[in-house]
Amino acid sequence: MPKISRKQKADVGIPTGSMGDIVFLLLIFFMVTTVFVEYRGIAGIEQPRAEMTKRLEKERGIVHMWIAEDGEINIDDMTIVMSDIAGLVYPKRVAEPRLIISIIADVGAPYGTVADAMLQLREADALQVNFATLYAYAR
Amino acid sequence: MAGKRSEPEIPTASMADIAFLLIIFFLVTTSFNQEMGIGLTLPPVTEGAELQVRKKNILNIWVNAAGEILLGEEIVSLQQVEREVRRRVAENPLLIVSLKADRETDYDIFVQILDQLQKAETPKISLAEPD
Repeated sequence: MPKISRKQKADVGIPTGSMGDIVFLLLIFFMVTTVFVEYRGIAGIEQPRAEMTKRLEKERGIVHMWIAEDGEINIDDMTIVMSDIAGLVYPKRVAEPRLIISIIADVGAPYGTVADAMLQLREADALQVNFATLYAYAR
Repeated sequence: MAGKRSEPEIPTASMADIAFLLIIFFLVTTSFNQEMGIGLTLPPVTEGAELQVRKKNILNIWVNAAGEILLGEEIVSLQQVEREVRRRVAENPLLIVSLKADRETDYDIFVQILDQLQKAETPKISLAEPD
């Protein structure tokens, strides 16, 4: 029987030549998808929970309106009085026609304050609102 | 002496390291879509133009400051709202649900009822202004 010589050994190393390309691809992905947190709002707001909570389809073009338990209103990190809401939101609405106002109100906030704020939003023609809630599972 | 000429080169061996560092930075700072909630479209302000709706097509839901719910003519619990509204919408597909809460009602109760209405697939929800 002839002997089979196994002189040639397959190279088992993982090719790393394209590593840089893969890394850059990932980098570009994360650069494009990153949205930095712009606003912090009012601390200590406890959001209500709802079963029909849905994710908002967009990340940009959202104005956040915080309403604290004591009725304090804050829009994009500016504490504001009720009558000034329409004046502040309207220019934003003109700049971004598909603007969504996300109302982040505390569970204990009086509904009257929220209703007044919604009336102001209607005057500013900002009609797309989102009541910020957290997921709740069926009870 | 014109034989060998060294080609000027930028060293690229550490390129991947730099890119990895940047990746880690973006990984840490990325926050994927965190916006969640219940969406609603408000009606535009129309002065003087009041919409006339037949009384039988309106279902009123009143909520008082204590969080008690009056649906039509009966007092219901929060859990009953979905089934009750679903039944009435099935009977009358043109039904508009008008939700009127007291100024002192907790926002949480308002959202809970809105959640129930969304679950019941209410075609039209009207938010009445509190007195």
